[in-house]
Amino acid sequence: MENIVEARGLVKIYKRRDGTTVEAVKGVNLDIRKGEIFSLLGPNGAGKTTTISMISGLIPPTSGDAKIGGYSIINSPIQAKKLLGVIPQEIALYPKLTARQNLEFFGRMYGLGGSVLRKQVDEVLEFIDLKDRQNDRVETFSGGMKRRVNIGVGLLHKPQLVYMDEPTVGIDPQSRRRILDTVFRLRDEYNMSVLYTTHLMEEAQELSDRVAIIDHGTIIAQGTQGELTQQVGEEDRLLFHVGEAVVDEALLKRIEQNVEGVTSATYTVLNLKELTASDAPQTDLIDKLSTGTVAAIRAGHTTEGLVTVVARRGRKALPHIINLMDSNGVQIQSVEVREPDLEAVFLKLTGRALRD
Amino acid sequence: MRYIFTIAINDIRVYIQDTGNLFNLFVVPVILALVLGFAFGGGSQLQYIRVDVVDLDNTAASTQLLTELRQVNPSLVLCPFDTVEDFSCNLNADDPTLTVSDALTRVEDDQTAAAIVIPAGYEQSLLNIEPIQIEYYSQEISQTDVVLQALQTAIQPVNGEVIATWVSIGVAQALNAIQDESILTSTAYDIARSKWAVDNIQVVYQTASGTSGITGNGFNQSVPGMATMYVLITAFGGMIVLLQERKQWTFQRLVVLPVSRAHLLGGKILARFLLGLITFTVLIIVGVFTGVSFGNDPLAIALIILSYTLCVTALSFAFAPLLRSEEQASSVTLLLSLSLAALGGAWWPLEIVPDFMRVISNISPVAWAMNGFSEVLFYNGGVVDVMLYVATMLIASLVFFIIGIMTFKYE
Repeated sequence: MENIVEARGLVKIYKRRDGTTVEAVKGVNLDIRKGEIFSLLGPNGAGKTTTISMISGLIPPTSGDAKIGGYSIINSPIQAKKLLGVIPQEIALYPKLTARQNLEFFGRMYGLGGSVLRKQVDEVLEFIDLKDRQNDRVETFSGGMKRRVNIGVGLLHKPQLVYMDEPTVGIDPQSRRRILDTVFRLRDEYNMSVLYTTHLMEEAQELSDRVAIIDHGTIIAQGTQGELTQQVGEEDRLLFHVGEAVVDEALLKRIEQNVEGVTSATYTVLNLKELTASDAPQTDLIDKLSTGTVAAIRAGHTTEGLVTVVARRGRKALPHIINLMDSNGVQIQSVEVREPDLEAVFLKLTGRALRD
Repeated sequence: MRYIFTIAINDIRVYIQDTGNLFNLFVVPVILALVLGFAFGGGSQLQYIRVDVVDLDNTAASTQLLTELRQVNPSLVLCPFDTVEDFSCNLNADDPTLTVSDALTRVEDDQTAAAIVIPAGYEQSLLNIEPIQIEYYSQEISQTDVVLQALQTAIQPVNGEVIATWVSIGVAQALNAIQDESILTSTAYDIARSKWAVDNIQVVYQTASGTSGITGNGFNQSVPGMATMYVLITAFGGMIVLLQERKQWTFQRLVVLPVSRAHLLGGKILARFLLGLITFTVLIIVGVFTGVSFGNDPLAIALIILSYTLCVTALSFAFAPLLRSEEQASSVTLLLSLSLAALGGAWWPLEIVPDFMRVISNISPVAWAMNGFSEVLFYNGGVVDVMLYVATMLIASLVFFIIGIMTFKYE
């Protein structure tokens, strides 16, 4: 598949005021294919925004180059930028102007004019679902609405590549969902490529065709999610929620010895009374718990038993484990299969969690 | 150019969406120009100066001296002799006479700008060609300089006539041709007087409007003064706007658009330049309504306005890269605007400041503009008269732009 972005050896070195230097990006190579959603995943301060700022022509690289649609961002910046729609993390809008005035101004700056500009602005207003508020000042909008206008500006000229820098930071779940759906629509309906930066593993997993993981200014892994997880050889985790049922050691041993691919089986009991008595708001707490635990809480259980089985090819092992538990009188309330995820990959590669 | 205009128009649109900016653009400078204009004498064509005169001689010669004084400077109101509508001598209506003591008290109390005492025997001393001392009292304020200069100018022909008479008598004595010295003295004095009246070198000194000499009113100072200051504030406001745009990321968004950096910077500069011209336009309208005399050469005025606005816009962009925060920019804007305005004669005429301040004022673009305006508004100068100031401002603009462009940070 043809590449829309080819970045080679991007380096950015900043000079501090005391004369010392800091290498924010250390020789990044990236290939983004046409029509794909490509996520750049990394913790805060990893170099995501610096990398993208170089690719979008906001800051010049200390060395290296990036080509967008074959145009060098250093030697042919205007041509390269024409193919690019930038959606920064910040709400880069004029708050005193209306949504329409903002869109019209940036549209003109993209070279649009006359009826084409009007049509494009109308189309974008439809796309971001703000046609009814088009003549209201942006400063009167909610955070989510501002985000939508912010996204709309980057789409006015129908770019081949849309760069979105952490667009879901600081917004409510509903607006977040809407933005993630928008990303899919850009790829699926408009055949645009999307370069998406995030520090949230869940977003990268949900959205991406391919992912690059960046840490300390270096790309430490790049590929599809499958390729990345295979690369680190992670095993599946199978979570069996058994409610208040008790699972003995003998059953766990049998699972480990008799089911192919299983490397460990453990039983833990969660005290739901203690758990729900914590200071965290119930809604936040439930968001963080597994579905089985939530079901146990809702069923009024005081404890929640959880059998965790680690296995290669977990899905293949699953029916055998269920049979064994069933034959031993353990009633399973729910099962979760946790495949190796990007969090695990990052953990494996850096020894740190993404949120550290 | 299209992108430059698009950015400039957008910046102006953003600027006028803010009520505070509109207030600064249309209300504050107008109010200040009016207040200062009235403080400097408002719209009256003559700014009267009260001068107390104690004529202890009270002869034709002393009366003639006072007539000369009035002719030299028509703005002098010689109390208690003169009456001017809306400008009284502020004397006791029942007994308007002045003694030396009264006059001195009035000078000390700032009720009058100066006091002139013509001694008794003035006329006789003239005829006897004897030394005369006219006493002059004042506080050390600028108006008194004008009075003293007028007095010296009025006395000049009297001195000339006395010397001419003295020379004539001396020559007659040398030729042993005096028959009647009193007739000779009187004849020689009359001839000297008549010759002085028509053939001497004269400095025409007047404050009324006319085609030559000094013209203008208080608004001639306040209108260009406030215009130059507010253009400075508007231009320097561009530094704050740039920092705001960086903070709200609209500037970065512009940088990643498919337009050149020259277009981007050009648009930002043009916006401030146009806002500066709008400020000037507002105050020129104020000037028209307050009777400011804009001289006889609109082109000269236009050149000053354009070059000054360009110059301070360029100056603000030369400063912009040095500033890191909006707070810093606000402080610098306030400091630079007010100090350069005061230094450059926006608040008061440079003519009244001490010499060393007048020299220092040359570092301020406001002074370059105000000197240019002064040439046109007060002396009816034209393009040639303002060319030095215009050229200075254009060269400075070039230098400031080069500094600004070389140091400007787009990142």
